Amino acid sequence: MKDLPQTVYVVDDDDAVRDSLRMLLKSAGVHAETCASAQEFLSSYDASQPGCLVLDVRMPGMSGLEMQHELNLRGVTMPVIFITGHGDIPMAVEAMQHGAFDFLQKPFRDQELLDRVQRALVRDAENRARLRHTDRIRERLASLSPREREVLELVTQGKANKMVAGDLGVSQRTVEIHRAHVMQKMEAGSLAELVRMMMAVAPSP
Amino acid sequence: MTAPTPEVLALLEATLDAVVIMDDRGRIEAFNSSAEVMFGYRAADAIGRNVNMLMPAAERGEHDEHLRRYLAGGEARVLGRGRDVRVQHRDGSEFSVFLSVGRIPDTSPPKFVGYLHDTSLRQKALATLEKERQVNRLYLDLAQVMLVATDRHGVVQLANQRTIRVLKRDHAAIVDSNWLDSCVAPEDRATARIAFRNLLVSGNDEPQVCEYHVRSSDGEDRFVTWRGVALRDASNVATGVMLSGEDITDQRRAESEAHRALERMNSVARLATMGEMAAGISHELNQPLAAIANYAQACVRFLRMPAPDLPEISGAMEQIASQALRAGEIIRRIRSLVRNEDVRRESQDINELIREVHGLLASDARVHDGKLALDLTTPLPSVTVDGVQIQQVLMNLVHNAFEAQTPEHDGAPFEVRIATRVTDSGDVEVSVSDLGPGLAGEAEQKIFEPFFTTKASGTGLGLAISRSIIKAHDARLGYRANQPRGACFYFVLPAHQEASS
Amino acid sequence: MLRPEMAGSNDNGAGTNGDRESQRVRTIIVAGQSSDRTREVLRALSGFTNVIWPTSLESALAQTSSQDAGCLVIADDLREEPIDEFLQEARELQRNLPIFVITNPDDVAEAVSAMRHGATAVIEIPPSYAALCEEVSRAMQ
Repeated sequence: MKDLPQTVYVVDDDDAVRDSLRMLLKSAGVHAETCASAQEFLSSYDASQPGCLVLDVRMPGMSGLEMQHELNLRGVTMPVIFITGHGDIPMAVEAMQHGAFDFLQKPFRDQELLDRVQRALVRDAENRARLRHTDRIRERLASLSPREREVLELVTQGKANKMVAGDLGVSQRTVEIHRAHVMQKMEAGSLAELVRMMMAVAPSP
Repeated sequence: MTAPTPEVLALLEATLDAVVIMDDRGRIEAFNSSAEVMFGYRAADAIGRNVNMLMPAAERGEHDEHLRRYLAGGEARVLGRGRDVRVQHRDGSEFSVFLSVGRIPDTSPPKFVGYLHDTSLRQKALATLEKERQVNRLYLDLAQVMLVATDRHGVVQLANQRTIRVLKRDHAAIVDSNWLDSCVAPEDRATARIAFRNLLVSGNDEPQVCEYHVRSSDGEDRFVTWRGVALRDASNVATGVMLSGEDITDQRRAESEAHRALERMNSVARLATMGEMAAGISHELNQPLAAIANYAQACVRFLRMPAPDLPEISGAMEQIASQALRAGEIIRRIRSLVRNEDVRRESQDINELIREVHGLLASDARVHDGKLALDLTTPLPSVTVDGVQIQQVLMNLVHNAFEAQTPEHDGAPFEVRIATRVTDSGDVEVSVSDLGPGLAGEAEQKIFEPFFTTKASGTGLGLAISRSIIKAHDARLGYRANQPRGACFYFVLPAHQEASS
Repeated sequence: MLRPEMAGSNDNGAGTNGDRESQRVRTIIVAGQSSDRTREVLRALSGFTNVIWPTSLESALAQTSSQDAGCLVIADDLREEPIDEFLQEARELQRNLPIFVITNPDDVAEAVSAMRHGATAVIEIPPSYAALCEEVSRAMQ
């Protein structure tokens, strides 16, 4: 189901660049909103709004890279496309190492920007979908009883019911009952699916 | 001898000339008071003696000979004519007199009367004058300046040795020629004529200065600073002028060579600064270019739609035009900053000059992650400066300030401040200050020296050139510590004086 | 191939049994076609030991996947494959291996593309030979 429409947020202190980007995106049928400074964006943005960022690197006050850092701290994962009037390779590398989605030099061809914006919006949709998915898994996990939780962990480690019963000091029958409840609450159709769910919420290496 | 009548006596005694009557054998028969004074003999001692006692020893024999010959029927050498002769005082000293001799009529044997006019005083005076003249001439000719005196019409009365040497003409060719027409170079004649006239009509005796070229006989022009005074007669009417001139041709040439070298260095430094600011400049230009590209491409897309949004499109077009002009402005500003133009001092408003380069300076700020603040006092008196050079100094100082920032500037954005204010004396102070580390100890002494730099890749020339530019504007580029920390470079420009007429 | 430690001493120094953890010498793999640029990069890295320049793409990938790989430097275009594709493959073989891509100066688009395909950092050559050596020595620590 389609939730909130995706918005491209343009943050650039140069009025002409900002306005012309707004117009370019509009001519491509993309909804855009503009801000003249990082502060303006940070104070008005709500993380539930999907989309991506087109962000100028050098701005008076908080710079683009500083804003990206701030977004990382806040856990905002919206993809950031940096644009710059005088970029060089070290700047680009630094931005990418800090998690930028892309980096473009002004002036650019419209298709270049639009392609990247498109990719970024797709990435954002994927991120959000995955987030929703893991959120749901976590919800379901939370609904398990402690014993069910234990069974889940051992089972997804590859242990047979018999071994699980031995580890927990209960009967094999008890294990089977818990296991059935786990599969039901987690809405998993198979062990493999259960394992995948656990991997999805496990902290990344 | 018959006793002289009272009238004759009076004649003899009244005259200042010495009068001596002698007989045919040269014996003195009468010797007036003036003769007594002239020769130092009392009449009583002179009468009866031979007149040749009044002559220098060497000539006595000659006189006897002349007398004898005349009496023997020869020609008169002396009679009827006057001549200068040397005679001798009683004390032995010789002097000159003008002698005229007459034969006394109706005397036989003949008697003669001689009138002796003392010319020695006149001659002494003339000799003294001549000596003084020569001494004066010597002073004139020893002078290292050209000295020329002319009459009211400009005809040269006097020209010293130096003038002769410079003009490569001899004295006769200069004196009596018209100074303005023959010695002043043609293109400067109008100037010289006006100065000449001013000297003659001005009421005071202040030397007036005028600079113009004189032309030598082989066509070489020398540039001279002339100081002139009017020469006046007893009733204070100007009768002519006296000019004293210093040939500054070589000095001028050296100055203009030095000036050209400085200009070359200036333009190199300007290019170097522009190169250092290239990142900021390209950023500055890329903004309007990006806007133009975006607007135009947006229009292309709009036009492909079945119902193009015409107001948007026309708005975009207007923006394209204005952004293109914005880019052109930036380029024009950069070009004027690197162009190697002759120095042009004009009355300027410093605040305006600062605003003109604000865009470029702000870009440099952004590249350094810093901030540029303007603290401009209005109104500011105008100053007479070469605007481009002052802007060059500003660019150098601001760029240096941003380069001086260190990573530990406690998180606050690194701010460089340009301030203008009016000093107590009514002049304009411009300062560039930062909150960086400032200058420590020896750096403070050496910071203006050429080739001294604290930057790893600095040329060390920027501040030295900035200082010489400010110095050429009759001001001084100085350093003082900024509060609470950091450096402040400042200069004070004299306010533009309205020309007093 | 690891052999179990023999009881007793091992005194054949740098022999085939030199695979002790602490003394494992890791390799710096340089990938790139035979060109002036690749040779320049090899020269710049001449202060390091164990720099290898595999002759084929397969052996380069094999070296990359080995446990002994210290870092990978993609010095120039590859004959067989676009850099970004090779980079992606290498990244998939080793998630944590430092991979450096060399570009021409000011080619920001190329640098960004390399980063997006998994490069750890991009270095411009010329002039930054010093930067390359710094990155590599940091990676080898």
